[in-house]
Amino acid sequence: MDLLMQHLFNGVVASSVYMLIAVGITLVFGLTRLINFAHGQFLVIAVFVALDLITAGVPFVFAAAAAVVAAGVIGWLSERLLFRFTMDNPYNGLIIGLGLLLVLESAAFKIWGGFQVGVPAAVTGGAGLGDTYFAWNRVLVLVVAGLVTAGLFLLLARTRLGAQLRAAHENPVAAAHVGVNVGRMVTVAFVAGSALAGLGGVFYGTLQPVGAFDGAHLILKGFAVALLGGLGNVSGLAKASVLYGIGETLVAGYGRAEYVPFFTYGVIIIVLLVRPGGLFEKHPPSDSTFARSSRGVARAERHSRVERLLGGAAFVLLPIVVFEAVGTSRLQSLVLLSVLYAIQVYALAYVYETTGVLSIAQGGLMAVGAYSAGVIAVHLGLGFWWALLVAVPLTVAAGALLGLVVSRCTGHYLLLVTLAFSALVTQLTLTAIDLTNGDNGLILPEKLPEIGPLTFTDLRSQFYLVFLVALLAAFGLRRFKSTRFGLQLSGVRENESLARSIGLRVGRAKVGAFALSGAVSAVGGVLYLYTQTVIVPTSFDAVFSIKIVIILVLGGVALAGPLVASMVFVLLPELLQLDPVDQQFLFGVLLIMIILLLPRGLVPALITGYSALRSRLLPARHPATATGRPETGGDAVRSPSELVREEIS
Amino acid sequence: MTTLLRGAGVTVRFGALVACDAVDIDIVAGEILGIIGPNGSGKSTLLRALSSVHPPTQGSVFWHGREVTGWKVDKLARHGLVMASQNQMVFGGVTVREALAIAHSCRPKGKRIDEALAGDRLVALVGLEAVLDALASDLPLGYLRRLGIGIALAAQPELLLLDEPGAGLNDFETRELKSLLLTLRDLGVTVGIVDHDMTLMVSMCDRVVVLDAGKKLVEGPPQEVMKDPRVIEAYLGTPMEIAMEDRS
Repeated sequence: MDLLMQHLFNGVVASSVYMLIAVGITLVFGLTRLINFAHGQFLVIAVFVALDLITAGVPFVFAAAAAVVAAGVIGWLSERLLFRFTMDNPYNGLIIGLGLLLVLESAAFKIWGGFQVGVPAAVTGGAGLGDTYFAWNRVLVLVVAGLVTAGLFLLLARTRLGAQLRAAHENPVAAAHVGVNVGRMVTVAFVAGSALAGLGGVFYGTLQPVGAFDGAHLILKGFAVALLGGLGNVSGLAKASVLYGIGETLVAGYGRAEYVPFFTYGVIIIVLLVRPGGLFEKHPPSDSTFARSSRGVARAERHSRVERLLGGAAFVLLPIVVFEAVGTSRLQSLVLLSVLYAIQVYALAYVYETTGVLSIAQGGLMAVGAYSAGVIAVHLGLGFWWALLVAVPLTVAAGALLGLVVSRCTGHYLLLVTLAFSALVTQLTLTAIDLTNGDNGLILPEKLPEIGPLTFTDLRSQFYLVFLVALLAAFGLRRFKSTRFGLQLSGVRENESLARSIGLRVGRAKVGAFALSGAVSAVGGVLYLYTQTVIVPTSFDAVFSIKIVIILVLGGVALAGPLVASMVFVLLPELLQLDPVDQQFLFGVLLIMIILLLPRGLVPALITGYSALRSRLLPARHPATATGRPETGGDAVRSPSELVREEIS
Repeated sequence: MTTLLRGAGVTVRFGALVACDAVDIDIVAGEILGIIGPNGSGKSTLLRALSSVHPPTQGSVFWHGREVTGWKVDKLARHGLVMASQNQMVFGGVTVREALAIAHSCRPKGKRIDEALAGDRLVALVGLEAVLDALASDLPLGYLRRLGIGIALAAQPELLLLDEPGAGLNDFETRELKSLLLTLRDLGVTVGIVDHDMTLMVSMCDRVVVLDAGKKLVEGPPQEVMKDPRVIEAYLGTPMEIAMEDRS
């Protein structure tokens, strides 16, 4: 029996739902250059709302309408309360979206529990035609989604509101000059996009079950479609979603369901590699917004020597103090774990500090390192030194590959492609059960080697070994920044096109940065394996990668920042005795608050607070007067708001 | 006299608009070549086509006699052709010192470094000693422009193409710019420049090429070119038109 027709039909139905998701992403993106990571979670919430209402006896139509309204309201609130404050910097908005995703996922879990649920279909039955079965529900989904999308196109093309939206999309400044209320258009796009996600969610729920943590997965699917169609390009979407929906159904139908994520992430990575502008766009979209703000989180300020010491030596020794002070071996092993985290943060900093590229793929790189070491230990019986010998080159290669993809795209694409990479590696370790033992995890049969008289069998010696490596990574990073290659990367960070115009091979430089990050990450990954002795795919999943980003943002990139922030981050949940879901909620809230309140990171903020306090207490010696160039001395330049504040006080 | 850069029949189209129409142009080693013309005559477009920022739709570009049409910007830069554009800005978030160090690091490996275009001598050449520790993004425009040129020079160019380096500068800053470019020529750096400031261009350039509506009108020493009736017509209109305007 040939199922091709059936697969094609199911694929087209699925594609109509993806269309709804992708249209929302594109609407918001077109106006704000923002990709709202929490968008996928709006779908999930709509599913739960609809199911609750239908269970309570509300007819399907009203339940669906309520779910759409609920998603719209959440979208409206998120724009009003969060994204509005990052409009000038979509990169920060992206990170806020990540935080919101974490918060909404854990909230959904708290409210509705961890089961996967579906929405009862509005109509049952169907008609067979040859070998193909047309379920009425699928037909309904196809028709309604098609009508809604067509309506949206009409609205955009024919109405006054549509014209205003398009104007704001083309050129916000010019649109504002001719009287378009761009802020309101952004709100409209957010609400409409979220409501569409709500509708898509209800339909998606009638096709397959959805769980509380499916938001990340759904946004990646929606993004894959939006990307195929060319982000911000509404007309390419229809073709793209059909292509994607059918492709996915064929992969699941003729291959295995587990292969679908590979398809999704593969599409994202390959499209970005080959046609960054989307399949149907001749010219890639101009990305001027991001040229200016490729570096979302502001750099740490320059500090005096005292402050640098304060941020350096004192904090560097803190892990040792804490390790020796905490009594229980449970807490000591957590301190060890936090230093393992810190190594990954430094590895990320090799890319972020130098090129300004914030990557959510650190877990992916670490997994390559840890798993390659684990696999050769389990299957070939090769020990620690072999592990380094194999893991480092492999991870460097993986890093270089990631860097190659990254160098092809900018800004928003970049975070997503790194996220897709991370998810791809996780999926790979989950699926290749013969090698990795899948979900059950890989148990290490080997031990850390003896070096002369030193053995690393107890917790303390392991801690000092790992701590030493972390310090090496930190000082190495510091030295690296002033090397020739390090300087070239700063050129990429500060002004990519200028660096290119004076002869730098920018793409090659990025590949190099990621390869270097991979090397550090691999060493950290091998140490993780050899100290924790068990690894499971979820140890290195996207949430882990996000944690590393949070720690980097939280700690700032001061020498000891990552160490201190990792400790806070790993120990705090344990001391507060939070379960993983509460932890995730907390991470999300923290991430949002850091971006909104302390964009420079916690440790630099502490240091800045200290210097502010000092200048209050000590009579100010104006650095500008010493150089005799008040107009150029950085400290002398004050923003108008600061001047006003000084006037008032 | 060796020709460094040759554009043969350089044509750039934007859709139906022909911004540059089969322009032939030579830049000779050791000269300051000015490209002038009324607004919209395709000067900057020509410069961008020559430096591969926006490669020509038709026609060819030769560098030292070798065809380089469509090369990547960075590759051309490594071969000694660097363009500094006024809207390119600088490395903003670092100090002037760091910005120059970054620029120095981007030069091609193994390239012979002209001592005059590196280190302290470069700083002195572009006159940035006083602001070395200032943040580049805080610099006043005149300094900013000189830092931009300094960054381009750190790449050790044989030929430096400048797109409106004088835009927005006051008289004093313009004079400084002029003396800097003249010094560069004496140091052996060939300069190709597009600018609107006719006084600057006429007094500084060894040779000028006049463009009008995308076509090359005339070329030669600036004093002669400025007397050419075709040039006067391109800038001011025909005598008839002038007369009409006078009457109204």
